[in-house]
Amino acid sequence: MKGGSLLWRLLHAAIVLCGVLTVVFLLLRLTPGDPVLLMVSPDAPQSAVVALRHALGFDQPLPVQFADYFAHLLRGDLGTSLRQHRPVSTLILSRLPATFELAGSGMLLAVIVAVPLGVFGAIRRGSMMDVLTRTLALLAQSLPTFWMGILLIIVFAVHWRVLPTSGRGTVAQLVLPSVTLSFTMIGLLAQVTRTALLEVLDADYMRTGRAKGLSNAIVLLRHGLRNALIPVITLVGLQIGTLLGGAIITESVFSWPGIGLLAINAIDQRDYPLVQGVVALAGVVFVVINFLVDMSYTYLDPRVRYT
Amino acid sequence: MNVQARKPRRSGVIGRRTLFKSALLVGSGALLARPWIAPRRARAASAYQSEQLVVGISTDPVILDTRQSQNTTGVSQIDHILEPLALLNPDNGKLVGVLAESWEPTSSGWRLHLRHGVKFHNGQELTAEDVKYTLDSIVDPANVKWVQPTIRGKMQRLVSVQVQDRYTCTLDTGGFSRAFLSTLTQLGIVPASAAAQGASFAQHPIGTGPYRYVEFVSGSHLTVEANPDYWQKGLPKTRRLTFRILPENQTRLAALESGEVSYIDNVPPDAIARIKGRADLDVMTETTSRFMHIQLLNDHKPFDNRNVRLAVNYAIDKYGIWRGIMGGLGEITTAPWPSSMLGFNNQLKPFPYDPSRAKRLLDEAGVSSVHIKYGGPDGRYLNDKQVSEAVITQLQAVGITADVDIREFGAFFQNVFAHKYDAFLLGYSYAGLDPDNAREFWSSKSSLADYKNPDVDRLFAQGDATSNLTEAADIYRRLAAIVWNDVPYAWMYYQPNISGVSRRLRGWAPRKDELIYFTGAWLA
Repeated sequence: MKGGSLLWRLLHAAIVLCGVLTVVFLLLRLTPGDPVLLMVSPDAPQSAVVALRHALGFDQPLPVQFADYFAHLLRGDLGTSLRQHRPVSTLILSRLPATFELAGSGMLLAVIVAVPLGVFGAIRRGSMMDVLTRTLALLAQSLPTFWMGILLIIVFAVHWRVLPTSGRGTVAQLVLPSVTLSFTMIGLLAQVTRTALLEVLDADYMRTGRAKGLSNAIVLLRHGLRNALIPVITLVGLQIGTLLGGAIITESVFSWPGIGLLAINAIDQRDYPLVQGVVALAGVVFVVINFLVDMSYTYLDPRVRYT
Repeated sequence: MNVQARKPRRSGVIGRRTLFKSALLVGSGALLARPWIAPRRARAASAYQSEQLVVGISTDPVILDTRQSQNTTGVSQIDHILEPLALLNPDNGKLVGVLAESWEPTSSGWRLHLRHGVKFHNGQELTAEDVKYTLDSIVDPANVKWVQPTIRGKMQRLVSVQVQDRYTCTLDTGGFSRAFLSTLTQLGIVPASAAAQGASFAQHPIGTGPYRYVEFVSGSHLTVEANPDYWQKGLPKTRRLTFRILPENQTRLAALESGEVSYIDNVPPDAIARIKGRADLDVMTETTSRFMHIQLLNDHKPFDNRNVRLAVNYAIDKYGIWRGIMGGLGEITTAPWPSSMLGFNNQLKPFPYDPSRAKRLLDEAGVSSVHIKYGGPDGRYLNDKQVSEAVITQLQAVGITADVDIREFGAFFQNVFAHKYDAFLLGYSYAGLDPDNAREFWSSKSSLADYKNPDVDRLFAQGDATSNLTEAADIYRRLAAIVWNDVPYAWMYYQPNISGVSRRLRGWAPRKDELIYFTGAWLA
């Protein structure tokens, strides 16, 4: 790539974020449900509804609201939650560590389990074990997260009582939600690792490596896996974004106080500023991770260069 | 299930097996400590019956200030920290003084005499100035953005609060209002020094309640600690109280079954047998004042005809729905409000299930077959979707077909407010257990069903204007008869409140007003 591409990438990211925010702003207002009506009781007089709508600025024309929203955004102000009466940024920052903790440990667990599984499948291609592993991986991928989560809770927390049902604070409380979250990813990740490794196994440089007397293990790890990792890392990067989304269900099942739970409640209550803030955050995370994934290619494959 | 359990062993990868072993190690380490389960026995020689009580609740209190949060579950939790001036005895509808010791009517409102020697958690004594600030802050136009609009609406008639002396204040409501006091039951008094904080008071609330605020992590838990200077001696019974927020039904049930919590709210009816099947757990139910009903748009065809509305009342098998979907918990509605409330009318009778009579009434009204738009919420009330489905089937049987629209509450309620449905399922709860709470609900000006009856408006005004309770009861009995026989709705049942409890839990009982208090509760 030519010079200045780093700057171009940043600009590109900014455009993507603006697009995301515009779409969210419009979609929220197209979604049925009125934040003001959800704040009043069923018997509130019309005048109370009108007064509140005015105080919150929802009686303004949509373009005015939109301009106002962007003007605040440029000053770094995400707005104030309609329900919690606190800055959206404060609320999100207070929930972010919990979500990163869960998504991080879920991802780590998935990689630790799936990559060896994929490598094994590739080198023992077609064996009974390979078929069995792939079948189980497919099964794990197809199980709905909430079902898996509740099953784990019933087995480990209610029956055996070795782990807590839910909540956050201790390492023990992290186990079940991370396992649940990693489950859907293990299958996919193992599959991609296996396919990618199969592609490089027959490559010339692998034969060269063996010909110059390297052991099978070293050829596999140093030459094979390193080359096979690029699609795997791309997938991991993309999946981190999905994980933040998939974490919504896991967080609900395990009462994990992260962004997902915050988002669900905000959507239920049509807390516009809060929903917009959470989606903006998800957009930023996606963009940053894609950027990091691209950067990692230069390490794995010296032919790729960004300046 | 079996396949899942076997998977780690069958995969045959060494790395994975090691991982499994280390996971077991972590697991057994956790087994020894198990910090998430409360210690079984309290230490001796404590002023409290138990050291710790952990309970599971389905709703996040969101914001710890009754001026800002108005969901019943949230108010219950906040009431452990902030206290109202008075509370209703849910069994007879009578007001019981909390921070106010006594009160008397004046020509334009109420005079309140505060309890002496009550201290806020910061050591300041409660005075009439604090009451004045709390009430003023609700109607202050500067606070419209953060004061909950419902409580603001109910307080709107407050003209002024005059402080007469340290412990006495007068509320001027621009004409006497009997029911104004029952509105105050939902409002926790905050110190006047909170004025500088505005909405952010809720981040570290200071009240006079049995518990002091310790920590609140939204989406996770609220922890409070006993107030050693609490004005009611011998309370609270437990030193540390934690509300864990567990919105997911299955998770909440599992937390009770695993012993992590000693109480859970909102038990789904189909889980009752599962809980009762265990020796260490029990289920407690109470009928609430939330009446479930089908609202019928009174000024639109076909429901502008009383006979058609009456037909709907005969067509719906409320007994069947109540037994089949509610498990026979709660009660069939026999009057517009329950027997524990002022002016309950025991002469009224529920309409029986009589589809042939419904058909006859429809024929007489000249609408033998009719098509309506029906709306219902999903996930707002106990088994609401199933109730709607049953109602629609039963209406169909008498010739009323419907376009059915069942959606999430937010979208549903917007349509209700825009009068997009001819008929819709709704639940209404008398938060203050006073018939006057439903004044706006049945008012000609704000009824969601466009129910208009000037007699009803007039009787509500009369019932509120008298300080004589016998007279008020008589007025409300008459009012109840009018509303009942106008059949603005299809009446159904009062929703049950189902709690799951550990058999070690003492000093706790469910309340008709849906409030959940643990001040007198402990673990045996």
